Amino acid sequence: MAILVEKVYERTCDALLEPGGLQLGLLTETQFLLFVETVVEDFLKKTELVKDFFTTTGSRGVVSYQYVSGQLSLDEVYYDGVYLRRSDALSIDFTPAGGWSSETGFPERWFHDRSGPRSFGLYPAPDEDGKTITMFGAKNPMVKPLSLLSTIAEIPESFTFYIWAGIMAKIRSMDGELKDDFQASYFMNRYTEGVNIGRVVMSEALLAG
Amino acid sequence: MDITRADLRDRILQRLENNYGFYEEAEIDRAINDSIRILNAVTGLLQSSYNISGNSVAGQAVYTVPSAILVPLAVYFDNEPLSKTDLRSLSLDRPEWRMETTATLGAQVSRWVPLGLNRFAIWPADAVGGHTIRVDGLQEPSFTDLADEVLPIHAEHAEVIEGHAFHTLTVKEGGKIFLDSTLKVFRQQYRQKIQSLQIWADELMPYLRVQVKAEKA
Repeated sequence: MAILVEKVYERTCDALLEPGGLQLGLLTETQFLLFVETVVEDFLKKTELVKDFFTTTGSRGVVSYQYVSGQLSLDEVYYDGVYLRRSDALSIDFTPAGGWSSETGFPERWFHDRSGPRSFGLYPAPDEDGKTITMFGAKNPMVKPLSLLSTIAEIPESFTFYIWAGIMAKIRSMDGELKDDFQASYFMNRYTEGVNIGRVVMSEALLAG
Repeated sequence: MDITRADLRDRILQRLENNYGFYEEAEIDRAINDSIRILNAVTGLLQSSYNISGNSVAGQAVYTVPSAILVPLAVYFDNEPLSKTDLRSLSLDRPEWRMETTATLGAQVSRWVPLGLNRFAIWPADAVGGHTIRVDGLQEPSFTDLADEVLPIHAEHAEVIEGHAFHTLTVKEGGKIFLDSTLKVFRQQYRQKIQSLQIWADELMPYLRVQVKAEKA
């Protein structure tokens, strides 16, 4: 279950009538790899196709925590193995105790608002150091920088065509000899189709039957 | 009736006016494989079962879906079906589920939780290990690309695969040939057919608007 960048490169070269490798200078290998990175990241953000558990460590009195490397989103949080309910800062403002940001204890809830991008908060803040905070959310398994020999793990091969379509949409939108408005529109349409398929199979792979 | 790769290659090449020089066999195979993969993801055509390699591990709740499965649909523990639940429901019901095992609860493994395409959890975790865990699901197709390979499709799907593979190959031609194949093969035939076959309720294929410039008289 992986996408081989070299295979995407081969089909791109074939489509651009440069079999065997880009040599005409209309598109460089560096541009191609940048498009792969951009499209794969966009595809993963839109479909959340790959999910995983991530961990970080709690600190006494610290409310806010950052996502870890490779983490794209956050769905659920566990503190020391115990599930925390999702909440929002506004409802915590109205808890009877008030002054919540200085409270410490065993966290009961987590929230996304008021904690900045790629971060979340715990209420109350932990009252001890070193406990494990486990996060569940979408993951970007891509290891950068990419090369033609890179493997993008965990994305099923069934989506290779659509990743390629996203890359072709970008190539056909570039100013210069490769620009082709019809193909750009066609490939963007196919890429959107792939995103839609990714989303529906993910809903099956996340929700109870 | 079995459809072999050689059959389909021939049919596609005929539609490409037997242009052997322009279309490599590997390109045709890639277009066939892509088309089968897409058809499968949209229609749920291929389904199969695989055991987790190494069986259950003592105390382990989260497992990797076998790589041959594209979407896990059901999980069996020692051939007994597990009840499917989602992560939030299990977590709300059992806030400490990640630490619970068959030994701590004195209960059998009874539920499974899909965690995306690549992972799933069982609850409670098996305290002993060594039990079989089977995953049923939508299969990720694999191919040998040999001429005598029997393709994993039904005869009624051959036309859809052939049409889509032909259409995607014409990208290389560009211009009017690709435009024609988009309008006539992709939009009028393929899109409608695949929508009639899809198992998902959502609209998957956005309508492709094509602006055709009028030719000068």
